[in-house]
Amino acid sequence: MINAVLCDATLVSQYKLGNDEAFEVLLQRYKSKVFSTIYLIVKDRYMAEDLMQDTFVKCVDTIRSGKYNEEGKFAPWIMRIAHNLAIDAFRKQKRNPTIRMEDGQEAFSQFQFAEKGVDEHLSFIEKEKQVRAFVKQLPETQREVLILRIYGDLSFQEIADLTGVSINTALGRMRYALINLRKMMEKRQTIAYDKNFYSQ
Amino acid sequence: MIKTFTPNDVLLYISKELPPAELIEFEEQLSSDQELMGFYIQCVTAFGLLKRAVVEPSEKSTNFILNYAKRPICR
Repeated sequence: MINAVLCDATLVSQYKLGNDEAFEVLLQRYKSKVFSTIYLIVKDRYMAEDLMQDTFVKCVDTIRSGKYNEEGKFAPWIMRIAHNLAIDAFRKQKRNPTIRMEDGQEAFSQFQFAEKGVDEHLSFIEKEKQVRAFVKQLPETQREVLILRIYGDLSFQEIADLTGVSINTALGRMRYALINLRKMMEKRQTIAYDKNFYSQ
Repeated sequence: MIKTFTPNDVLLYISKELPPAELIEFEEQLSSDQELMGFYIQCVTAFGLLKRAVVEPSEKSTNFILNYAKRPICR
Protein backbone atom coordinates (compact mmCIF):
# COMPACT_ATOMS: atom_id res chain seq x y z
CA MET A 1 0.00 0.00 0.00
CA ILE A 2 1.25 3.46 -0.93
CA ASN A 3 2.12 5.78 1.93
CA ALA A 4 -0.03 8.93 1.82
CA VAL A 5 2.82 11.09 3.20
CA LEU A 6 5.09 10.46 0.20
CA CYS A 7 6.09 13.63 -1.63
CA ASP A 8 4.53 14.54 -4.98
CA ALA A 9 7.70 13.82 -6.97
CA THR A 10 7.91 10.27 -5.57
CA LEU A 11 4.24 9.66 -6.33
CA VAL A 12 4.68 10.86 -9.91
CA SER A 13 7.70 8.56 -10.35
CA GLN A 14 5.78 5.64 -8.85
CA TYR A 15 2.86 6.26 -11.19
CA LYS A 16 5.20 6.44 -14.16
CA LEU A 17 6.50 3.02 -13.16
CA GLY A 18 2.96 1.64 -13.31
CA ASN A 19 1.75 2.05 -9.72
CA ASP A 20 -1.83 3.34 -10.15
CA GLU A 21 -2.28 3.71 -6.42
CA ALA A 22 0.31 6.51 -6.45
CA PHE A 23 -1.90 8.51 -8.80
CA GLU A 24 -4.90 7.91 -6.56
CA VAL A 25 -2.99 9.55 -3.68
CA LEU A 26 -2.13 12.53 -5.91
CA LEU A 27 -5.76 12.83 -6.97
CA GLN A 28 -7.01 12.76 -3.38
CA ARG A 29 -4.39 15.35 -2.45
CA TYR A 30 -5.27 17.83 -5.22
CA LYS A 31 -8.85 17.25 -6.34
CA SER A 32 -10.45 19.78 -3.95
CA LYS A 33 -7.84 22.45 -4.68
CA VAL A 34 -8.15 21.96 -8.43
CA PHE A 35 -11.93 21.80 -8.35
CA SER A 36 -12.42 24.84 -6.08
CA THR A 37 -10.02 26.88 -8.21
CA ILE A 38 -11.83 26.01 -11.44
CA TYR A 39 -15.31 26.35 -9.96
CA LEU A 40 -14.71 29.81 -8.54
CA ILE A 41 -13.28 31.02 -11.85
CA VAL A 42 -15.92 29.64 -14.21
CA LYS A 43 -18.77 29.94 -11.66
CA ASP A 44 -20.55 26.91 -13.08
CA ARG A 45 -20.51 23.50 -11.44
CA TYR A 46 -21.19 21.45 -14.59
CA MET A 47 -18.39 23.16 -16.45
CA ALA A 48 -16.06 22.88 -13.46
CA GLU A 49 -16.62 19.10 -13.30
CA ASP A 50 -15.68 18.79 -16.99
CA LEU A 51 -12.65 21.02 -16.65
CA MET A 52 -11.40 19.17 -13.59
CA GLN A 53 -11.57 15.94 -15.57
CA ASP A 54 -9.72 17.62 -18.47
CA THR A 55 -7.03 18.87 -16.07
CA PHE A 56 -6.29 15.44 -14.63
CA VAL A 57 -6.55 13.72 -18.04
CA LYS A 58 -3.90 16.13 -19.32
CA CYS A 59 -1.84 15.39 -16.21
CA VAL A 60 -2.10 11.60 -16.77
CA ASP A 61 -1.23 11.90 -20.47
CA THR A 62 1.80 14.11 -19.79
CA ILE A 63 3.19 11.84 -17.06
CA ARG A 64 2.60 8.66 -19.04
CA SER A 65 4.15 10.06 -22.21
CA GLY A 66 7.31 10.92 -20.26
CA LYS A 67 6.91 14.64 -20.97
CA TYR A 68 6.52 15.66 -17.31
CA ASN A 69 9.45 17.77 -16.20
CA GLU A 70 10.65 16.27 -12.93
CA GLU A 71 12.56 19.39 -12.01
CA GLY A 72 9.36 21.39 -11.68
CA LYS A 73 6.97 21.10 -8.76
CA PHE A 74 3.77 19.13 -9.24
CA ALA A 75 1.43 21.56 -7.41
CA PRO A 76 2.17 24.72 -9.44
CA TRP A 77 2.19 22.61 -12.61
CA ILE A 78 -1.28 21.10 -12.14
CA MET A 79 -2.68 24.40 -10.87
CA ARG A 80 -1.33 26.09 -14.00
CA ILE A 81 -3.16 23.55 -16.20
CA ALA A 82 -6.38 24.04 -14.19
CA HIS A 83 -6.07 27.82 -14.20
CA ASN A 84 -5.42 28.06 -17.95
CA LEU A 85 -8.32 25.74 -18.84
CA ALA A 86 -10.65 27.65 -16.47
CA ILE A 87 -9.65 31.09 -17.77
CA ASP A 88 -10.11 29.97 -21.40
CA ALA A 89 -13.54 28.51 -20.58
CA PHE A 90 -14.57 31.57 -18.57
CA ARG A 91 -13.68 33.93 -21.44
CA LYS A 92 -15.55 31.76 -23.96
CA GLN A 93 -18.51 31.63 -21.57
CA LYS A 94 -18.51 35.42 -21.28
CA ARG A 95 -18.76 35.66 -25.06
CA ASN A 96 -21.55 33.03 -25.17
CA PRO A 97 -23.36 33.24 -21.81
CA THR A 98 -25.34 30.20 -20.70
CA ILE A 99 -28.93 30.40 -19.51
CA ARG A 100 -29.26 29.83 -15.78
CA MET A 101 -32.31 28.82 -13.79
CA GLU A 102 -34.38 31.67 -12.43
CA ASP A 103 -33.48 31.04 -8.78
CA GLY A 104 -29.79 30.54 -9.66
CA GLN A 105 -29.90 27.15 -7.93
CA GLU A 106 -26.76 25.12 -8.41
CA ALA A 107 -27.51 21.66 -9.72
CA PHE A 108 -25.18 19.68 -7.48
CA SER A 109 -25.34 21.82 -4.36
CA GLN A 110 -26.92 19.03 -2.37
CA PHE A 111 -23.92 16.76 -3.00
CA GLN A 112 -21.09 18.91 -1.82
CA PHE A 113 -21.64 18.35 1.88
CA ALA A 114 -22.64 14.71 1.54
CA GLU A 115 -19.87 13.55 3.82
CA LYS A 116 -20.69 16.01 6.60
CA GLY A 117 -23.26 15.44 9.30
CA VAL A 118 -26.73 16.96 8.96
CA ASP A 119 -26.25 19.46 11.80
CA GLU A 120 -22.87 20.57 10.51
CA HIS A 121 -24.34 20.87 7.04
CA LEU A 122 -27.15 23.12 8.24
CA SER A 123 -24.95 25.37 10.34
CA PHE A 124 -22.27 25.98 7.69
CA ILE A 125 -24.03 25.81 4.36
CA GLU A 126 -25.38 29.37 4.33
CA LYS A 127 -22.12 30.98 5.38
CA GLU A 128 -20.05 28.91 2.95
CA LYS A 129 -22.47 29.61 0.11
CA GLN A 130 -22.36 33.32 0.90
CA VAL A 131 -18.56 33.39 0.95
CA ARG A 132 -18.44 31.68 -2.45
CA ALA A 133 -21.01 34.15 -3.78
CA PHE A 134 -18.85 37.07 -2.59
CA VAL A 135 -15.74 35.58 -4.22
CA LYS A 136 -17.62 35.20 -7.51
CA GLN A 137 -18.52 38.92 -7.41
CA LEU A 138 -14.89 40.10 -7.20
CA PRO A 139 -13.27 41.69 -10.28
CA GLU A 140 -11.59 39.03 -12.43
CA THR A 141 -7.96 39.89 -11.64
CA GLN A 142 -8.60 40.04 -7.88
CA ARG A 143 -10.61 36.84 -7.90
CA GLU A 144 -7.88 35.06 -9.82
CA VAL A 145 -5.15 35.86 -7.27
CA LEU A 146 -7.36 35.11 -4.28
CA ILE A 147 -8.45 31.72 -5.67
CA LEU A 148 -4.93 30.66 -6.63
CA ARG A 149 -3.61 31.63 -3.18
CA ILE A 150 -6.39 30.27 -0.98
CA TYR A 151 -7.65 27.25 -2.92
CA GLY A 152 -4.74 26.51 -5.24
CA ASP A 153 -2.22 26.98 -2.42
CA LEU A 154 0.27 28.71 -4.72
CA SER A 155 2.81 31.19 -3.39
CA PHE A 156 2.53 34.83 -4.47
CA GLN A 157 5.66 34.40 -6.57
CA GLU A 158 4.12 31.38 -8.32
CA ILE A 159 0.89 33.36 -8.90
CA ALA A 160 2.89 36.27 -10.31
CA ASP A 161 4.72 33.90 -12.70
CA LEU A 162 1.50 32.19 -13.73
CA THR A 163 -0.48 35.35 -14.37
CA GLY A 164 2.38 37.30 -15.93
CA VAL A 165 2.51 40.17 -13.42
CA SER A 166 5.01 41.32 -10.79
CA ILE A 167 4.77 39.97 -7.26
CA ASN A 168 3.81 43.44 -6.02
CA THR A 169 0.89 43.55 -8.45
CA ALA A 170 -0.25 40.10 -7.28
CA LEU A 171 -0.01 41.22 -3.64
CA GLY A 172 -1.90 44.44 -4.42
CA ARG A 173 -4.70 42.51 -6.11
CA MET A 174 -4.94 40.22 -3.11
CA ARG A 175 -5.20 43.20 -0.76
CA TYR A 176 -7.98 44.75 -2.83
CA ALA A 177 -9.76 41.40 -3.01
CA LEU A 178 -9.72 41.15 0.80
CA ILE A 179 -10.84 44.77 1.18
CA ASN A 180 -13.73 44.22 -1.25
CA LEU A 181 -14.76 40.98 0.45
CA ARG A 182 -14.82 42.78 3.77
CA LYS A 183 -17.00 45.54 2.32
CA MET A 184 -19.44 42.97 0.92
CA MET A 185 -19.63 41.19 4.26
CA GLU A 186 -20.16 44.42 6.16
CA LYS A 187 -22.88 45.47 3.71
CA ARG A 188 -24.62 42.14 4.14
CA GLN A 189 -24.42 42.37 7.92
CA THR A 190 -25.91 45.87 7.80
CA ILE A 191 -28.81 44.65 5.66
CA ALA A 192 -29.38 41.69 8.00
CA TYR A 193 -29.29 44.04 10.99
CA ASP A 194 -31.77 46.44 9.39
CA LYS A 195 -34.15 43.59 8.58
CA ASN A 196 -34.06 42.42 12.19
CA PHE A 197 -34.64 45.97 13.40
CA TYR A 198 -37.69 46.57 11.24
CA SER A 199 -39.20 43.15 11.88
CA GLN A 200 -39.46 43.86 15.61
CA MET B 1 18.59 50.58 8.31
CA ILE B 2 15.20 49.76 9.83
CA LYS B 3 12.73 48.44 7.31
CA THR B 4 9.12 49.65 7.43
CA PHE B 5 6.83 46.74 6.74
CA THR B 6 3.64 47.14 4.72
CA PRO B 7 0.36 45.18 4.32
CA ASN B 8 2.05 43.33 1.43
CA ASP B 9 4.58 41.98 3.93
CA VAL B 10 1.68 40.82 6.13
CA LEU B 11 0.37 38.76 3.19
CA LEU B 12 3.84 37.33 2.59
CA TYR B 13 4.19 36.54 6.30
CA ILE B 14 0.88 34.66 6.41
CA SER B 15 1.89 32.75 3.27
CA LYS B 16 5.30 31.93 4.83
CA GLU B 17 7.05 33.75 2.00
CA LEU B 18 8.76 36.49 3.99
CA PRO B 19 12.57 36.09 3.87
CA PRO B 20 13.75 34.32 7.07
CA ALA B 21 16.17 37.15 7.75
CA GLU B 22 13.25 39.59 8.08
CA LEU B 23 11.02 37.48 10.32
CA ILE B 24 12.14 38.74 13.75
CA GLU B 25 12.09 42.38 12.67
CA PHE B 26 8.64 41.91 11.11
CA GLU B 27 7.17 40.25 14.21
CA GLU B 28 8.56 43.04 16.41
CA GLN B 29 6.93 45.69 14.22
CA LEU B 30 3.70 43.70 14.01
CA SER B 31 3.36 43.59 17.79
CA SER B 32 3.86 47.35 18.13
CA ASP B 33 1.98 48.61 15.04
CA GLN B 34 -1.78 48.60 15.58
CA GLU B 35 -2.63 49.22 11.93
CA LEU B 36 -0.45 46.34 10.73
CA MET B 37 -1.82 44.07 13.47
CA GLY B 38 -5.37 45.02 12.48
CA PHE B 39 -4.70 44.07 8.88
CA TYR B 40 -3.03 40.82 10.00
CA ILE B 41 -6.08 39.82 12.07
CA GLN B 42 -8.43 40.70 9.18
CA CYS B 43 -6.37 38.56 6.80
CA VAL B 44 -6.14 35.54 9.10
CA THR B 45 -9.91 35.70 9.70
CA ALA B 46 -10.68 36.06 5.99
CA PHE B 47 -8.29 33.24 5.02
CA GLY B 48 -9.94 30.94 7.56
CA LEU B 49 -13.42 31.78 6.32
CA LEU B 50 -12.44 31.37 2.67
CA LYS B 51 -10.68 28.05 3.24
CA ARG B 52 -13.85 26.65 4.80
CA ALA B 53 -15.76 27.43 1.61
CA VAL B 54 -13.81 24.85 -0.40
CA VAL B 55 -15.88 22.94 -2.96
CA GLU B 56 -15.66 19.17 -3.49
CA PRO B 57 -16.00 17.59 -6.93
CA SER B 58 -18.57 14.86 -7.51
CA GLU B 59 -17.69 11.22 -7.00
CA LYS B 60 -18.54 10.65 -10.66
CA SER B 61 -15.75 12.99 -11.82
CA THR B 62 -13.25 11.47 -9.39
CA ASN B 63 -14.09 7.95 -10.57
CA PHE B 64 -13.84 8.98 -14.21
CA ILE B 65 -10.32 10.30 -13.62
CA LEU B 66 -9.27 7.21 -11.66
CA ASN B 67 -10.52 4.90 -14.40
CA TYR B 68 -8.73 6.98 -17.00
CA ALA B 69 -5.49 6.89 -15.00
CA LYS B 70 -5.72 3.12 -14.58
CA ARG B 71 -6.39 2.24 -18.20
CA PRO B 72 -3.70 0.11 -19.83
CA ILE B 73 -1.19 1.90 -22.04
CA CYS B 74 -1.65 1.03 -25.72
CA ARG B 75 1.70 0.70 -27.49
